Amino acid sequence: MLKAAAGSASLAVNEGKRGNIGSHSLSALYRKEMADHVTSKRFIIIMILVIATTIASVYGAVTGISSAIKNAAMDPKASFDAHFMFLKLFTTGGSSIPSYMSLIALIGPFIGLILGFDSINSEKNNGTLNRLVSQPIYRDSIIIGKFLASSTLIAVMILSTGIAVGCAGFLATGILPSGEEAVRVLIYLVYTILYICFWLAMAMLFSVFTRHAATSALASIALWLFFAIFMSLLAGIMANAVYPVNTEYQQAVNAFENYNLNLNLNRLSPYYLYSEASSVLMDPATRAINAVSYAQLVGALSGYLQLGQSLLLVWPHLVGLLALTFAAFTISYIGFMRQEIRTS
Amino acid sequence: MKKTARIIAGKGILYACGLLAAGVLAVTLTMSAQVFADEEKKETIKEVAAGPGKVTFSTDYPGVTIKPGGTSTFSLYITNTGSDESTVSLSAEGLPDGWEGAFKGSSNEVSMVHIGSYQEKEDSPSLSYSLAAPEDAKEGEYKITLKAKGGKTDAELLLNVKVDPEEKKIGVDTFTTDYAQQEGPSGTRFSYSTKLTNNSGENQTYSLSAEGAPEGWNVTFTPSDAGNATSSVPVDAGATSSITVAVTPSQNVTAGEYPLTLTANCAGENLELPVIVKITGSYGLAAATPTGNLSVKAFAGETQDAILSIQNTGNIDLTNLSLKAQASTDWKVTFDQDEISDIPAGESKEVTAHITPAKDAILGDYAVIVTASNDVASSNCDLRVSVQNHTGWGVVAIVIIVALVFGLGYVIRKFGRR
Repeated sequence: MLKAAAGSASLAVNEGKRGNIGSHSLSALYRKEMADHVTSKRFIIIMILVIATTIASVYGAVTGISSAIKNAAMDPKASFDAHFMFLKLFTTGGSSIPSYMSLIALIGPFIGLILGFDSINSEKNNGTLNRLVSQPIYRDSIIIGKFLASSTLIAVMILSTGIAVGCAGFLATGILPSGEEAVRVLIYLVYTILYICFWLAMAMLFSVFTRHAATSALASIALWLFFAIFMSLLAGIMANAVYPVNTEYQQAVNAFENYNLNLNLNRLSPYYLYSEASSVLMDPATRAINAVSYAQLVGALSGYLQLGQSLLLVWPHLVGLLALTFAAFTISYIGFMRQEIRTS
Repeated sequence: MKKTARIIAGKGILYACGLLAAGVLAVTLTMSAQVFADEEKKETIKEVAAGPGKVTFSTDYPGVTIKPGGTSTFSLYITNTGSDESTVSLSAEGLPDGWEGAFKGSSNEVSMVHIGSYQEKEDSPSLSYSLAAPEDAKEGEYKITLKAKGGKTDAELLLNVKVDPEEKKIGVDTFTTDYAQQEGPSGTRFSYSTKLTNNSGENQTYSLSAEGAPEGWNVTFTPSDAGNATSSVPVDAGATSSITVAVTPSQNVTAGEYPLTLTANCAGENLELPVIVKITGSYGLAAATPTGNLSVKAFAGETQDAILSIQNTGNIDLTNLSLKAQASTDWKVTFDQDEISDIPAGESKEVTAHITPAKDAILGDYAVIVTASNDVASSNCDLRVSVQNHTGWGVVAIVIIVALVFGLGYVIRKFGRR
C-alpha cells in the first residue's frame, strides 16, 4: 500500500508542473494516508469503540436526566436546574455510565495515540519510507500529510459523534438546543479535537525518534499516564514542599498559596487544561477557574456567564493546547527532516 | 242673594256653613255629627239648591309674618255651593309699592280661574298666590285683598301680612353633621354623614355645593334614598334628609388642614356647614433607576457609573437623605452627592453612583444594594452588577495563535524542502 502511495505521488509529480510539486505531492500523500487509515482494521476498531461510547453515553444521559427530573418532582428538596438542558446531554451520566464528556476525555487521547504511534518508524522499518523519499517529492510533505490526514479523521470522528449525541438526545428527550448551547457544544468539540491532535502529535514525535513501534506506543502511553494520574500527585507533593500545610498554623498561612501553586503546576498538563476548559464551556454556571476567596463571594449572585465571558475564561487553555501541539509537531518535524533515512 | 239662599235652602246652608268652618278653622266635630251633616248637605243641595250658590275664596293661613325681602306663598281654595259654573278673573288690591305678588296655577302665572258647580275644597284647582316683600319693606302690618270677580261671583280674601325684620321662624332649616372634622392620610376618601332638615312649612328643593375645595378635589352629595350622587335634593316640609358627602382629595395633596364649606340653598334659606379635612402626613421613598433597568455591567477594578433616581412618594418634604451602598468586599461605591438635602413631596432626584468592583472580583453577577434613608423613611435599590472581562484579551489569544502559526511556518521554511 505504501508502494501505491509512492506510485501515485510520482504519478502526480510526472503529470504536474515542476512549480506545483509541493502541493501536488502533499495532497496525494494526504489522500493516500487517509485511505490507508480508513481501510485499516485498526481504524475500524477505534470507530467501533467510539460509536459504543457514544451510544452508552446517550443512554446514560437520558436515564440520568429523567431520574433527576423524577427526583425533583418527588422530593421538593432535590434541586434540579432546568437551564441549559441541552448541555446536560453531554455532561450528565447515568447510574453507572459516565457522561459523554468524561468518556471522550478518557478515550480521546487513545484515538490520537493509535493513529500516530507507528506512523514514521514502522515505515522506516519496512523500508517503504526509503522508497518514498527517493521519489521526487519534498520530504516534509510526508510528515505534514500524515499529520493532516490523521487530524482530519479525528475531527470527523469527534464532530460526528458529538452531533450524534445531540440528535439522539433530542429524539429521546425532545430538548432542542438554543443558539448559545449549540455554539458552546461546537466550541467544546473543537477543544476536544485540538486535545486529541496534541496526543497525535506526541505519538508522531515518539514514532520519529524511536526505532520500534512498540517503544513509541509504550512511551506515549506512559506520557499519557503521567499527565492523567501522576502529574496531579506530583503537583500536590511539590506544592506541599514549597508551602507546607502540615500544622494548623501553616494551613492558615499557606493554604491559599499551596492551592494556587498546585493549580498552576497542574495546568502544565494538557490533560488538566482540557478538562478545565471543557467544564467551563459546558457548564455556564462556572464563574471562576482560579481559587476563590470568601471575600470575593460576598454579594455574589448565582447566575450564568454569557458565552463570550466563558470564552474569555478559557482562551489561555486554547492557546496552551495549540502551543503544546505545535511544539510537539515542530520537534518531530525538525527531527524527521534531519534524520538520515536512506542509509537506515 | 243671601236672603234668597236662606229662604230656599236655609237648613242646607246652615249645615254647609258648619262644614266650611270645620274645614277652614279645623274645628273638631264629633264623627257621627259630621257624617250625618255631610249626607244631609249633599242630599239637600242636589235636590233643592239648584241655581246660584255661594262662592268662597279662602286660604289656610291668611295671616303670616315675613322678613323684609322674604317671600310667602298662600295656597288658595275656591269653593262653590251653587250649581252655576263661572269663570272669574283674579286680582290683588292693597299691594304696597315695591311688593310683588302673582297668582300661580299649575306651573304658570294665572289671571283667571274656572269655578265648577258644587266645587269643594278638595276639587279646587291648585292655585296659589306668592307674595314677595322688598328688601326695604318697613316693619308693620299690611292688608292685601285678593279678589275673584266675574259674572255673578264676587269673592274676596283678606291677607294679613306682618313684616318683622327680627322674625324667627318657628323652626329654622338646619344642615348638620356629627363629625365635622375628619383626618386621614392622602388617598383617603372622607365621608361626612349630614342631615338636612326642612323646618319651613313647604316642600323645598335644596341645591347642594361645596366651596373652598382645592383644585383636583372631588366632593359628591349622595342622599341616603338615592343611589347616585346629585346636586340637589328635595325635602318635604318638616322632614329630614340624610345626605352622605364624600370628599376625595387629589392624589398629590400635601399634608395640612383644608376647611371646606358645604352649602344647601333653597328659595328662602342659605344653609352653610363648615367641615375640616385634615390630611395627615405620610412618608414614602422609592429608590430606583430612571430607566427601570437594575443591571449594570462593569469590569473588575474599573469604575462604572449608574444613575439612580430617588423619589419622594410621600406628601411631606424629605430632608437630609443620606445614601449608602452595601457591596462585596473591596468594592468601592461612591455617590456624586452623599447627602440629598431636600426632596419636595412627590418629586425625585437623580444621583450618580460610581461603582468600582474589586480587582479580584470573579466574573458574573454581584448584588449591590443602595440605600437612601433619613430618620423617617428609607428605601433600597438592589442593583445587579455583572463583572466582565475585557474582550481585548480575546484579541491577545488570537495574536498568540497567529504567532504560533507563523512560527510553525518559519520552521517548515527553514528545515523543509530538502
